[in-house]
Amino acid sequence: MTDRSRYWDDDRLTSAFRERAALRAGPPDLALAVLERVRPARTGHAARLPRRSVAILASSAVVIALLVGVFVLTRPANPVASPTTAFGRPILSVEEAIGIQAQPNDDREIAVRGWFSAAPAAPCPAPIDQSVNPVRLDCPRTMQWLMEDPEQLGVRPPTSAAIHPIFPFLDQSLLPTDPIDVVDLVVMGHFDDRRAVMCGVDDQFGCRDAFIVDRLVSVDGQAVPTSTVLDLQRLEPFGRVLPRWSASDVDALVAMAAPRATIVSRLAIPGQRIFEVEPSLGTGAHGIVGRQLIWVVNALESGPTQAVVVRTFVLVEDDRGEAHEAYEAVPWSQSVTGFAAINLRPPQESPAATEPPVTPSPNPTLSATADFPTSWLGLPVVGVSDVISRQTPDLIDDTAMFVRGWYVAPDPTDQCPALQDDRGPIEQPCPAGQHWLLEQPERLWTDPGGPWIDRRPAGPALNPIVLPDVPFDVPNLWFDTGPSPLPVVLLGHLGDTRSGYYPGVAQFVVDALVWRAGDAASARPWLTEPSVEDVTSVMARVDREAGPAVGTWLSVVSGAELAVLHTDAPPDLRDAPAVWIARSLLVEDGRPRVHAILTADKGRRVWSGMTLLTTIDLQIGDDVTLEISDGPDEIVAARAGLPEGAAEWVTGDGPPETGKVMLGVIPERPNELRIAWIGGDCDRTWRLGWSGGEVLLWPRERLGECRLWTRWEVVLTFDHAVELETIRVSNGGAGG
Amino acid sequence: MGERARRDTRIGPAIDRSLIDRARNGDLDAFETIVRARMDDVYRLTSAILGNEADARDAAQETFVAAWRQLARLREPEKFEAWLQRVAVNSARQTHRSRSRRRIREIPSSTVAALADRAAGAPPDDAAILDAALARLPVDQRAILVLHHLEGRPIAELASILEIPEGTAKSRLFTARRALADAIRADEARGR
Repeated sequence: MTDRSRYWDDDRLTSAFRERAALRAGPPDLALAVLERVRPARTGHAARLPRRSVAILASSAVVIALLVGVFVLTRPANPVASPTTAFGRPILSVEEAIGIQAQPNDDREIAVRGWFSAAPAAPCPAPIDQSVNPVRLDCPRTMQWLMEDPEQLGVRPPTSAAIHPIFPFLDQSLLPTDPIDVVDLVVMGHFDDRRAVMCGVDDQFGCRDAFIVDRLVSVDGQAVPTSTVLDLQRLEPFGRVLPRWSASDVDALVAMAAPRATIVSRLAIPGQRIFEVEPSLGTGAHGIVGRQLIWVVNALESGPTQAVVVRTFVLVEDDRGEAHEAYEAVPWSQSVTGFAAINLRPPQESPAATEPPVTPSPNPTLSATADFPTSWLGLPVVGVSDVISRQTPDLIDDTAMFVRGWYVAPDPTDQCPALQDDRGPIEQPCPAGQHWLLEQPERLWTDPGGPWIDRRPAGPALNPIVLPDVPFDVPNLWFDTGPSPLPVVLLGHLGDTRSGYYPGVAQFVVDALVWRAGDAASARPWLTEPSVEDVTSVMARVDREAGPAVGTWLSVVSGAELAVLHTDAPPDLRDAPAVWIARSLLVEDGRPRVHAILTADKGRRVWSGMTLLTTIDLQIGDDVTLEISDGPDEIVAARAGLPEGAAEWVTGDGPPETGKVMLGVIPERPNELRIAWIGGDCDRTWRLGWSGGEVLLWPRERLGECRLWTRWEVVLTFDHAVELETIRVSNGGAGG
Repeated sequence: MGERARRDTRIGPAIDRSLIDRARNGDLDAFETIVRARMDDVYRLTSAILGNEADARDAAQETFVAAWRQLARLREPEKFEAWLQRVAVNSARQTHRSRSRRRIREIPSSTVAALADRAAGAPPDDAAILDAALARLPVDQRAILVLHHLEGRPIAELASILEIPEGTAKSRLFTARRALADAIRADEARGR
């Protein structure tokens, strides 16, 4: 496709930005306003002034004070003693916490110190969204603050930096309930809570910006014990359930799953009310809503790179006080969290803190190092961390990458439920069905006798999406002692356009297994359906239409499966019994990309996604070619036309670089469509797309500047009669 | 996307290092000099990101107030300019978030004339087209476009200002450029 006349290149953008900035003059009093604000703060006066009213208030401070009821607090001469760290983390100021809040999708656990002001006893309007979510900033939470400086607020917001803390199901008995009582508070918590994804689209800011407190550390310097809340009131039948477990019992159970974690909160609640704490479980997942009593326990644990992570456990206390069910919050994808069943077993002897990753055994024998290739087909092989650093929810870059790592296969005996059809093929399966790619080999199970993965990797790891049509030839990797990591190099990409939901673009989608320890992966095509045509014939057709690639990996699927796995596949391939998928690695403008080239077994035409590559090539002039792309496969012949009389013509507007296009028919030849246009001598190759009722014509190759103009005319013969009034000329549209 | 070395000369002469050191030690007069030297640049940045005068004023004010409070903790005074821009971008984000529920779009008085020309049938100029398209973008995408195309920050400096890896900066800029292009095309299609 040639450049359009209104292409916004770097120069044009820069010019427009500067012109736009020049339209906005800087206000002359802004510097004075800043200095008025900072001067009192540094000299010890604690007066706070509304931001936009500096000049006005300078002359009417008394009036304003009476109107808004400003009360000023000064800092205590001897501030209460507070710790400088909590759970090994430095305690941040509220302003520093706001810097983290501003980062998108940053849910790291942090310790924050600030001045807490409770919400006043003011009436709240009925919420628009009646659904319950513990992290939504509904009134009166929006009037509850953790402030940088102590202020008595009433109903007005603070003038210093401040955030909204939420204490979901924490013991708040040590916190004041009157906003007059402002206390020095140290808390552990996080922004961008995983439950925010269940807030409505319009609430995302509110939910993600709320500071979810996991632990009250100190109030006015006094240490706060771990919170235990028993909220035992049932909805139906009305009444209370009584727990048999004590806090110690709960802690001992969690210690089986997370021996190194520190409990920060415990909540006992009837199962039918679980939606108030974990909205995702309120949908019926794992049948939690039907359980009599649930314990929700949060624990903090040091993760990789010294970060502190929150682990959430859901324990079911049955009516005999026994523990047979337990779950933990696990990430299903970039930003969606579900709950996976975990096995509670007595803790084994605690491994040494510096225990290196264990080498799995017995067969095949693996060492902790592998001789990974550093490059493949001339392109660098990167590590798992490199891919992780590129995973962001707004990423639409589908650059192909060769990635090395230790592959752990899902349990072959476990079955996942079918994927949700409306989310497209790029979706993580249930945890039992996930693939793993680890930066370093690790044992992902705690019990050698239990054939399931119940331990998170400590190092960087990916859950690559491996779809059934991808060449992925690995031997059985599950043995009696569990899954064995296998050194591999995978070809894959992020930003897959088949993702049906926003976080899906951050999934690493595998295109092929290219190397595994010991030898290169098999070069044979990956067959899921029987095919008739031989590989050489298929490759010749693919190379002819798509051009030679750096590397190509072949697989064969049925047309029906193609429709599920490649949602952009053309309709006529979906009916084919067998379709070849040639994953061709091409380097375009220095960027490697994988194109899925599709062609039916023993077929003739080749597509790249929905784009038909096979064209009817017609010489219409000296060194001038017309490439005709016949999507619906209705054109049986094409020839350069000579001006002939008695044709009915209509005119339409093509793309700007094409101009007017004339369509004509001669009544005596109802199967023929004549197309005429004016082209310049610099247009060497034209492209004509026929998509059934629409003609799109544009110069695909233009050399230099046109000086001479020629009228071109071609005649297309269809397998049916054409009706001129049903055909239109396309102008290329917004995207071309 | 090619990376061109392109330093914007719109930023004034570098702030004297001694001024920064004095301001870090609490010298308000030194800080005042810095504010007066950099206020126009910061206002231009917040204005370009937020698109309306009132929000840009608030964000510019908050930038320097925050800078005064955090200056003592600046570990690398030689990177003051990039640090100040980071603070300005964060202030713009905060201001935008606090206004996120506002439904009325304020039209800056300085662009009313340009919009009047457009309403009168004159073809919109590039600045007006850009203005309308930016308003459709999230504030983070606006910020990275402004830093790159208005402030002339190359990828490495974008990464430093936004505190993200260079690869992430590149892909975010790519995404923002594409979103801007889509917004421009959508506006053009409606204008036909």
